[in-house]
Amino acid sequence: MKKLVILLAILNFNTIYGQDRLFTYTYQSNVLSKGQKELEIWNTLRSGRKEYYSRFDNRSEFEIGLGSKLQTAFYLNLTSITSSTDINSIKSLETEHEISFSNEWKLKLMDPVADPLGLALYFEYGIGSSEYEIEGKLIIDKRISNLTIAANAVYELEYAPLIEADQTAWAKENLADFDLAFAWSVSPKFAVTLENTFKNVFVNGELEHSALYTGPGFSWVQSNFWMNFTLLPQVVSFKGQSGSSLNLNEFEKIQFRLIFSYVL
Amino acid sequence: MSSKLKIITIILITVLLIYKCSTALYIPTSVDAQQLGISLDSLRMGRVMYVNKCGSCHSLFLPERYTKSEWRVNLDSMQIRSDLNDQQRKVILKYLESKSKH
Repeated sequence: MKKLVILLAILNFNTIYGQDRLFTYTYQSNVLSKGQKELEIWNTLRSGRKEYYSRFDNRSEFEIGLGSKLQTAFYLNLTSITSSTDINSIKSLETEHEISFSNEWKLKLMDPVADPLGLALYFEYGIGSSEYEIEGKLIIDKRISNLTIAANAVYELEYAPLIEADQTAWAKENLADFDLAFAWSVSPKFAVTLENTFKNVFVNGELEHSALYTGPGFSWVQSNFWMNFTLLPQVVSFKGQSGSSLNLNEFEKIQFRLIFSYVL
Repeated sequence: MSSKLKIITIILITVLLIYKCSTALYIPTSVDAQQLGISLDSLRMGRVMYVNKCGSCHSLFLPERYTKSEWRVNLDSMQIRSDLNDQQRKVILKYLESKSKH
């Protein structure tokens, strides 16, 4: 009986230390343990623009810990967008597909438990069939008893080809996001979350679009498996409104994200 | 104040508040040592070793997350993997037990 209790305790401990991620949009400073591997499947549905718009993103991520402070991950990204188009005053629905590859690196500088603040730097590049991008993040987080707070400052540079006067040109877009998220651990295996994402798009140095998303979610962990979910509606826009208080020209009315992961 | 400025101010205040809070992993004081009847040096050494030996491989857990008996079992399971000798295990365990769940 005693052996069984010890075995269950060991299994419980090993299970819990595999899971650190509580949010779906906001990153935390923790990295995977050295040699630890995870397969994460991301599913994001974005819906509701001025005209019909529905976008589904599926990211398959292989994540591996490289040391006590460094991890990397490789993504295969599949995107499908169905939107309303207007050609010669004839409206119809058009579906586009895109495939891309991304690689991320995360370096932990301070630990959220041992130090006053968790701090990490994040870098990602992406190569796609119709887009190239680089992304940098400053990640800050803090654990106070059952409460986890995380904040990210994100900068992203995107290049996409376009045809102008029979010539191929590159359209550049700068994105700056600020994320702030809170999680309350109800039990070691379940947490409720609240995420806030403040999105900004700059074109030629000018702020063109700006909006705030706020929404609830949860994080649930089981043996060698965890899943996080967030429902994120746009609550207010500061730039580029489309006849209401929301910006439905550049951003969607609502986003849903579900990440599930297997610890390999 | 514009709405955007308000949001940035809220974010900055939140970050400052978070930083002002002390570390989640408690730092032993002479009062803790006196109450527990353990030397302060030993408790502090336990914290340093816990951070360096355990935190170099996985995320750290707060001492209050587990009971004394659970910590003993956890350290038993991790001792070989983390290459801890018996003395190091004992020092780390003393630190973790000092604020363990009751």
